[in-house]
Amino acid sequence: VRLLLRALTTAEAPREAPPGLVGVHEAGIIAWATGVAEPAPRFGRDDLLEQHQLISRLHAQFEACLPARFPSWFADEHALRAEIRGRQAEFRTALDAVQGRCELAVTVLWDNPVDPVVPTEASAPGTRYLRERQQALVGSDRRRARARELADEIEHVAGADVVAVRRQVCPSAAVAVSAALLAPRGCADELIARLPRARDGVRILVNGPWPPYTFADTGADAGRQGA
Amino acid sequence: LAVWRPVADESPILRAPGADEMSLLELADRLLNRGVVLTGEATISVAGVDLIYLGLNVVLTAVENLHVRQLERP
Repeated sequence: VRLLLRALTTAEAPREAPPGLVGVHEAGIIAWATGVAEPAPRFGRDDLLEQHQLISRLHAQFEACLPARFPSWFADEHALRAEIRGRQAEFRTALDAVQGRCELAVTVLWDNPVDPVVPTEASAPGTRYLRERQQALVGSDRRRARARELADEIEHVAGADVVAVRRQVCPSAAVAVSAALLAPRGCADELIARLPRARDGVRILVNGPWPPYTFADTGADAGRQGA
Repeated sequence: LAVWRPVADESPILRAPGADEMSLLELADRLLNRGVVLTGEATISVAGVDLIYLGLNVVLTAVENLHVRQLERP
């Protein structure tokens, strides 16, 4: 039976394993996984939602919960133990960083994902193309500047309640800002209520509190991703 | 997961995604792109994840990352 890892938690007071999960204890850390007998499962959307539900349950039960990237497989319990033993200091540091904290996802969506192109008066096709291209570039710069303003405003409104912020400006045509806020669990509801839901030309969606997916990376992960 | 598909006569970038769609895509992005990375036996095997849709870079990035990481494996 192979193990599909869900999350790491600190080994706090003895608790019953959440239904369907196996807890592998190693070096003061518990790795929560699901045993899967199927040799080559094909994952679908339900598997992703199940991953979120299981991690959310662990996050509710444990003060420090480090979600695993989906899907992370191990051949067996020994392989999982070896990985934890070899990187225990790194995992402990990451667990400390998210202890008692949760993630809020803030997504700012443009009301109109694309600026309308104003027809130019140029008669030559080449000139017309260049002017339209210029319009698009100016519009893109303007949107990017506006998105930065919105991201700054969100951080300002969130204020001192937020421990860390990661944000992407204009990650797609429809999205002005995609931000993740790491906040103490006790502040989450108040913070959600305080964040704006609309500004001129945009809608602002606030999701969560979620387990700290965005803040679960370790220094070693960042190195791997940058490779 | 909701999939943002363009309607028949619509370019994918012309329709703003709904709130529910966007929330699910943000969640999918986190599940696939973030979280702690452990080097398991076969970290990536998500060819069957039905995330194929048009237009949103967040999940496209996730899919691209999966391909890159698959290629990096010995």
